[in-house]
Amino acid sequence: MNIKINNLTKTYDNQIVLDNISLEINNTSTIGIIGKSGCGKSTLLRQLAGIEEPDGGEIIIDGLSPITDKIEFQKSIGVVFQKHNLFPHLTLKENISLILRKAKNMNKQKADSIAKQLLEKLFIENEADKRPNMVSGGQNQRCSIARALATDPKLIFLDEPTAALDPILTNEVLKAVNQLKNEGINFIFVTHEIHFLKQFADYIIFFENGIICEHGDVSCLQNPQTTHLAQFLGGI
Amino acid sequence: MKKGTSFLIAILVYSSLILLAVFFTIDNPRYDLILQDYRMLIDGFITTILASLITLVCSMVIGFVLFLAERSKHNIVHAFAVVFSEIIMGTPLLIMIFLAVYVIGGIIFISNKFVLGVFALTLYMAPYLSNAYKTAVAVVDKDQYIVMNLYHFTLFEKYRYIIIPQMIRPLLPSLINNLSSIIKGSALLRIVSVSDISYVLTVISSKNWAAIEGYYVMWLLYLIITIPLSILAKYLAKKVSI
Ligand SMILES: Nc1ncnc2c1ncn2[C@@H]1O[C@H](COP(=O)(O)OP(=O)(O)OP(=O)(O)O)[C@@H](O)[C@H]1O
Ligand SMILES: [Mg+2]
Repeated sequence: MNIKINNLTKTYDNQIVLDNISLEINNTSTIGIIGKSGCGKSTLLRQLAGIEEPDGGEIIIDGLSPITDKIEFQKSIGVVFQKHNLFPHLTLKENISLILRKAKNMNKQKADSIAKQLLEKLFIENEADKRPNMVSGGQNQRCSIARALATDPKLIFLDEPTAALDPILTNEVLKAVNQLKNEGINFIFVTHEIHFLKQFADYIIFFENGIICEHGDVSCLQNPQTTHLAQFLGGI
Repeated sequence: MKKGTSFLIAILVYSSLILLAVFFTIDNPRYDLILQDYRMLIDGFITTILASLITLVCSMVIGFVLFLAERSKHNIVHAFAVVFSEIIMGTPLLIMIFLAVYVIGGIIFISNKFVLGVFALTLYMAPYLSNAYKTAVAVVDKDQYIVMNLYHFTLFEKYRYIIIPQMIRPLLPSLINNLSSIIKGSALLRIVSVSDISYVLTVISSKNWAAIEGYYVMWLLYLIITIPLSILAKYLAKKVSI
C-alpha cells in the first residue's frame, strides 16, 4: 500500500489534535500507530478512513482520497473501532449479515451463512445468536473484526483491536490478522501492545503532541532516534 | 412497612374517601336513575375508547412525520415543523376542537363531528408524540451513526434497520401515557356533541335531575380506564430499562 499525507490538520474546539502532518510511505502492508493516550491516534485513524473530514490537508491511499473519493474509497475498507460499535439490538450474526446484505446485495440466507463463516474464523460461532450486551468485550471486539471483513476489504483500520482481550485471545487475533495479511490485506492500526506491534507491523508511526515524532521501519523500535520514542518505549 | 402493604393501605384509604364522596356528599343520591340507561353508557364508553384509539394511531403517524421534519437537515423544513409544534402546543384543546369543527370542517366539506373531533385531538396530540419519539431516538448513540455512514446506509435503511427497532422499547410506556391523555382529552368532544362517555352522562343526568351523580359516575368510568393503563405503562417502563 502507498500512503501520502499532506499538511493534515484537525482541530476540536480550538484544541489542535493533528498539527499539519505530512508523510509518505510506499510499499508497505501494515502500519502501526503508537503514542500516549489522548495524543490523537484515533483521530488520525478517523481521518484516514474518511469517517471525519479534516480541517485541511490531503490524503491519498492507493490512488484514492478518503476525503474527495469517500464513497469509492470506503467500499474497499473495513474499520474496527476502539469501542466495538456493534448495533445493540442485533445479534452478532445479524450485525454481520446486515452489512453483507447491504454492501453486497446478498439475500438473507446467503448473508447468514457467510456471517456464520466469518464468526467461525474468529472463534465466536457459538455466540452467533447473542446480542452484544450478552457477550464479553473480547467477543464483541472479534465480532467487530468479523464485520470489518464482511465487505472483502483491501485495507482494514484497527483501533486497539486487542485492548479488551487476554493474552491468549490476543495471540488468536494476532494469528487471524497475520493470516489476513498473508492473504494480501493491508492494515493501519493503533495499539498499546508492544508485542502485537512487533509481531504485526511493518512500519511504525510514533505520534506525540499532534505531530509525527518518529516513523520508520519496525526495526526502529530496536534503536529509537528520538528521546521521546525511547522514553515511550521505556515506559511500556 | 412493606411496599405492598403500604400500597394496599393507600388504595383502601383513597377508595373509602371516594366512596364516601360518592354516597354521602349528595342528599338522597339517585344512581339508579343513571344506571338505568346503561345501554347509552356502554355506547358512550365504546365511543370514547374508539375515538381515543383512532386518535392515538393517527397522532402516532402525524407525530412521526413531525418528528422527521424536526430532525430534517433542511432548515426550512425544520423551522416549519418547530413553529407548527409550538403553535399547537400553545393552543388549548377546546379551541382546537372549535377550529376543527367550525372552520376546517367547512373548508374541507366534512360535517361529521366525530371525524372532526378526532382530527382536532390528533393535531393536538401530534407534538407530544413527536416529543416521545425524540426521547426514544436518543437511545441510538453517535457511534452507531458513524457505522451507518461508513457503510453508506440510506436514510430509509437507517430508520428501517437500526433506528426504529431500537425506538420501540423506550417508546411503549410513553405511548400508553399519551393514550391516557387522549382519553381524558376526549371528554371535551362533548361540546360538539360527540356522544362519548362525558356527553352521554351529561344527557342522562340532566334528564334525571342528577347532575352530581352523573359527574361521579363519569369520574369513576375514566379512572377505570386510565389507572390500569398507567399501571401497564409503569410495568413496561420497568421492563424496558432492564
Ligand atoms: N469528537 C471529539 N470532540 C472533541 N474532542 C475530541 C473528539 N475526539 C477526540 N477529541 C480529543 O482529541 C484528543 C485526541 O483524542 P484521540 O481519541 O484521537 O486520542 P487517542 O490517541 O486515540 O487516545 P487513546 O489512546 O486513549 O485512545 C483528545 O484530547 C480528545 O479529548
Ligand atoms: Mg484512541
